[in-house]
Amino acid sequence: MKNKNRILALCIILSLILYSLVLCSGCWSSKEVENLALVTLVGIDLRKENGREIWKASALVLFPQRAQGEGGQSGQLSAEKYFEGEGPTPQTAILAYSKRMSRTPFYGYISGYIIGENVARENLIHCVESVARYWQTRPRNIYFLARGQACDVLKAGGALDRLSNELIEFSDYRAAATGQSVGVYRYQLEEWLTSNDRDAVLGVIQPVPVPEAENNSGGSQGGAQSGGGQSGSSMGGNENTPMKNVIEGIAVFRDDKLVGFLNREETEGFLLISREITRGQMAIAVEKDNQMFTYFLSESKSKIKPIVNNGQISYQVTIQTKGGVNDQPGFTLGIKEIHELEEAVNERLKAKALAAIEKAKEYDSDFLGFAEALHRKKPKVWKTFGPSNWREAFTKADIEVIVKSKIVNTGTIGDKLEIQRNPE
Amino acid sequence: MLKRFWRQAVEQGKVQSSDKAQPSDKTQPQDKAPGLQPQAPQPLSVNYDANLQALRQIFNLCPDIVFHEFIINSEEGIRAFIVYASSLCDHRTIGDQLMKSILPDSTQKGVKITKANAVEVLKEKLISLAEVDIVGDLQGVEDKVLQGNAALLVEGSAQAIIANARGGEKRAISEPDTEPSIRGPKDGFVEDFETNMTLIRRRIKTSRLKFMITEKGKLTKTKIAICYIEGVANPQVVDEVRQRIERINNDSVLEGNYIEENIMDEKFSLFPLIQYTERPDKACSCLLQGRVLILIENSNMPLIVPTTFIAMLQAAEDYYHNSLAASTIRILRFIALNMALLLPAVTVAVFSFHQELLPPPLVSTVAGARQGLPLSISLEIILFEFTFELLREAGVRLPKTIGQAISTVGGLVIGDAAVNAGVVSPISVIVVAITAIASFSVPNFEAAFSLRILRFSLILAASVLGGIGIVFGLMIILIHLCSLRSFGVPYLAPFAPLIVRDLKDSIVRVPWWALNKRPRTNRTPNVYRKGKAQGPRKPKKGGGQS
Amino acid sequence: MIFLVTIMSTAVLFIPSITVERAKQCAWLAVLLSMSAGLICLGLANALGKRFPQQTLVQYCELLLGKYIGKAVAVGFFLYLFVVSNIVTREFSDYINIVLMPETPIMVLNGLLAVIAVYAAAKGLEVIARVAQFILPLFLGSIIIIIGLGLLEAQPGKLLPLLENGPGPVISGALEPATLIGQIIILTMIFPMINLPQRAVKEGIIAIVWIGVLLTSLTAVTISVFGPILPGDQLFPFVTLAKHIKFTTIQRLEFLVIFIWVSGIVVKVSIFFYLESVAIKQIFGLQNNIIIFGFLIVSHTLLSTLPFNNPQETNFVLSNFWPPFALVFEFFVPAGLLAIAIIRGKKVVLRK
Repeated sequence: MKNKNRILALCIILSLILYSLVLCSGCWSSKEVENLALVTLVGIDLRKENGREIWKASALVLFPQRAQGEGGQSGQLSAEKYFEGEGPTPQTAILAYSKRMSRTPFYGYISGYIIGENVARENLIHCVESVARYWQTRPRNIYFLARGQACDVLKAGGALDRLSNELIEFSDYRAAATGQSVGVYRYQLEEWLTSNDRDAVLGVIQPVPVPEAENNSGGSQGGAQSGGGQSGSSMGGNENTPMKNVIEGIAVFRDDKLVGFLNREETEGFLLISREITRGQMAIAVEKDNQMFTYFLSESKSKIKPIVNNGQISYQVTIQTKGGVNDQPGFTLGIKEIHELEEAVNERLKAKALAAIEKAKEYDSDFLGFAEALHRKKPKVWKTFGPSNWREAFTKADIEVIVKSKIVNTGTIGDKLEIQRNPE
Repeated sequence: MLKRFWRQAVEQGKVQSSDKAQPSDKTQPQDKAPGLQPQAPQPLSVNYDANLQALRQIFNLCPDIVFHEFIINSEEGIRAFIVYASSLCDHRTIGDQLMKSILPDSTQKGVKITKANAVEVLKEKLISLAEVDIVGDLQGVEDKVLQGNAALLVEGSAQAIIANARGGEKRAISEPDTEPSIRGPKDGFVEDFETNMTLIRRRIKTSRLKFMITEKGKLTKTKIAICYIEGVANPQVVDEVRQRIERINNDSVLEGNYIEENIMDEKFSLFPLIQYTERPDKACSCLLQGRVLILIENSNMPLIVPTTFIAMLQAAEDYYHNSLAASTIRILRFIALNMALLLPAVTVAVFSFHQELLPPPLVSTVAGARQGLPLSISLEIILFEFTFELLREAGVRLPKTIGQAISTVGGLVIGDAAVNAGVVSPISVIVVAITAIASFSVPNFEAAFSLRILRFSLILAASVLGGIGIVFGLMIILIHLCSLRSFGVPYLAPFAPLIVRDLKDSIVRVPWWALNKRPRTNRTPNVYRKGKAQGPRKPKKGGGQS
Repeated sequence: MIFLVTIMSTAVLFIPSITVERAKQCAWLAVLLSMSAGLICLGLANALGKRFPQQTLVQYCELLLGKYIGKAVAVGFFLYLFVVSNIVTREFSDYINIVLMPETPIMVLNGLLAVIAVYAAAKGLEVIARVAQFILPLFLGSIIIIIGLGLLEAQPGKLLPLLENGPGPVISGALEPATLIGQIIILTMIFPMINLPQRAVKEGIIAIVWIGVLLTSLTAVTISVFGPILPGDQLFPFVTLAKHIKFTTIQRLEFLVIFIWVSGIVVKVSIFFYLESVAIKQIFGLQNNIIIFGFLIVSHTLLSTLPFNNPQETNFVLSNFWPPFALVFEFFVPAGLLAIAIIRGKKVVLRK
């Protein structure tokens, strides 16, 4: 009997404990899925008024709606809604617009952050730190720099989750491939900002007015599919001139301040030097004998080798590319001619790389990875530079660029298309 | 009162808890069952009438016990009577063989039967029948008659001749419906003890197949046979089984469970520690692995001990199909087991707590579908699970043809109606339906019960703490499982004490040519099943025909 | 049967150590170094165990040092176990709080963990060993998956330059993992209960090597994906790695990390509870299980919650006070006991 009593008593006590836990819990962290507002993009802007900072946060939010009629009960996405709010710190700005939403904002699916130009020039650290500390951000969230104000970008990019999807797709697949810009992940940005041997870059996005033709044809919900690398989705309605977003160019930082931008040519140079391109789709126009042909670059690798001679630092950059030539004005593509074409391509690519290097020296910002290479391969020499002038390892050095390009693919026609041309 | 309890608990704690297995030599002189007093065996008397009277008294108001008085044909006119239970005996045996042997033909010459030698002579005459026995007391006669024998009492003798006349209605051997199979023998155990023994004996034709028979249950006097293969089964296990069964002292044993709950290692356990089967081929394969079978009279499901967790996943059919196919199906069953346990809980956890784990389109679809619904996901799932349980239970009671239709259709109809009415969201219906299907694919139905209970608890845990709740719940279940033993064998073997050799037959089934040794789990003395290297081999060139 | 638990419990404890990386890109070297420290501790435990095969550390403390000093040292050892389990509990609920569910009160998580661990500890060492054995493949599998998928993103150049600042940072970085791997000293407490003591050393070595390899590769992968500085700034770089991995559809793997973390912590805390209960029984002579375990539950629930206000304080304690304190009990005390045992020539003669 004693045994039974004891067991019974223990059971009762245990169940009481468990039930009290369950009952008084209230399921603290549960959030019902239908009460979520899925935030897909956040834009952060900064302006100074009377010496005080005013942060402006804007967001594109999805509100899943129930489809009416049709017999089906599946949910459907509504259009992305745009919210904005202001406050003295980024988080108060975010909360300012959260108050206006009827549901709880959920940042688990956020694809990226768009930072306004002013933020980058003045107070990038504040923004990056608060994003990094928030527990729901992921290392793969994308950062973009907006020319002008981030909220304009968000306003321009509206319908059906297009913008954030395009940003993701761009950064994952097409960034280096097409040569327009670069997609920078959150962890990469943080890594560059915290490192002592490299400067950061960010891709640039900006809203531009839509040309008439594209507006008419892409006016329906589907939007025009982007070719050639311009992202866009037209937005009907509110704006006077419909705008769309274009990702092009790179913003360059020095420490944590924005110092300048790179144009198309320099962007491609940057990508050639510091990125490994696979599945590339860069079309490079090369001139040979006063005629232009296109070198379609599909793969590229580069190596930076620091050379130290009696305290004099120089670098040797070797770029190896592979590509095809499909578009050429009638050259005969025999073996000898292909070599000549490759020479021309080498020259052209070298010019791009040198343009990027020039710009880097002009901005006094080492975002190409030269100092990093020195640090890794010759740490003792690196140590002779202090923390404040490590960039001199790059700016005062000679840089030699060697490009070895290969034409591996010339299409389905052999040497030449024998077009009859009768001399006049 | 609390203080008293506390002191009691403290005192209890001081004593080491070692009361798991009672020592078997604890005799129980007092019968606890009410109304049954141990009776000293009363001997038969020489007086014919006294015997008749006594037996009639014992079998008062038992109209199926027949007393058949007759006079043995001899000069002295010896009176004799036969007592038998007409429900338990084969009338032909009694009529043709017994009576004809006893009542000699007038033309037959034979030994003269006198009062003195009646018993011996009759015993010899009944030799053509199997199992002739002599009993000298009333209780013995009573027992034997109730077992289906006929008792012959002759005037002038204090001994009764017992002759086997067993018969009566039995169920024919039919296909086992709890464990059907596509390929493989289709006979199943029946309620008749002899038939069951036959089914086993037919498959294992060795004299090393032993049956230890005892009788349990004061009122039911059920025959229980402990069946094992000598030299293959671990003698300690056999002994342990015997001791535990002998410990049983109740007044009825109707079915396996009556014994099961008395001989298990744990007092309360959600998981089946003893396996049941309806198939003789499965029973025999377990015997060949070194396990012990417990046959019970009037029960068509013998028990198999010891058992492990893997038994939940194994079906007899696995051994009759191709090894690859069987392995794949076993893996499928394993996944189904996990799903049956975890799917609703994981759904609740993910949709209520960790939405970031899902791909965004799924979340927006579900979120959209759940606009304006009154219940939270966890409540919906609990409600639906409950409804499915009701349907399942109801389906069991209905006649077979209607029952299945109603549970299936009922589920679908109710689910659909609820969704259309806007009361629940389709995701709950889908999840619960898939869970139900997954739980049907677990071969062991005992396990299915425990799965249901655990599933509910996990849903509750998930609704409180999300993913952590599930992990905590699983850890508790795991700790409990790891501490279970079935007759000395750890329940989670071959996973927990990692016995690599036994892994070959757990989640996957390795082909027969690789299963050289018996599973170590059962610790048999006879390790090798067969000779080595008997796999399929291509014929050597030059030796065989092309 | 119990030998595998050594692998498991010590394999579990490295997860907290990943969260602190001081030696930058050489951190993985630091880990390798700490492996050797663990091997030393293992050697000590084995030597002691061979001399006193039927007794736990607590018991032969008294034997060697006399009644009062011995008891004091034994109590110290018990405190060591106690502090470890408290800190581990706290780290666990910190992690859950920060990464998963910010609103759950810490006391509830601590209390639940304590209850479950007590349930396991009350069932005995063998059950814990089996649980550990069961979880082990899932554990190792998940870690290997994460390491493997992380390798896809790795850029080995980030591991250069090696030994940039000399061996100093490596050694100071090795201190923390060493204290964690040194927890294998609990072998001394388990020794009398092992079935096959001669295998204990071999299993222990396998365990330490595995842990070392896994931990090293994990650290190396984390650095090569994120660079040398970023993981040091983060609180849980391992989780960040798991969040980062994306391989076609396999992404958002942090759930895997949750699972292995929680199950590992449960095992670890239950072993420590079991050892603490053994220690209490042997030091103070209490026999009543209910009181002991009740005390453990209550004390852990309270003491893990109250003293630390936020994870910063936990980290502060961990990085500054913990290593010396742990090293005393993991290394110096057993070494001292061994020295005394050799000097005094005390040995238990095995009767066979």
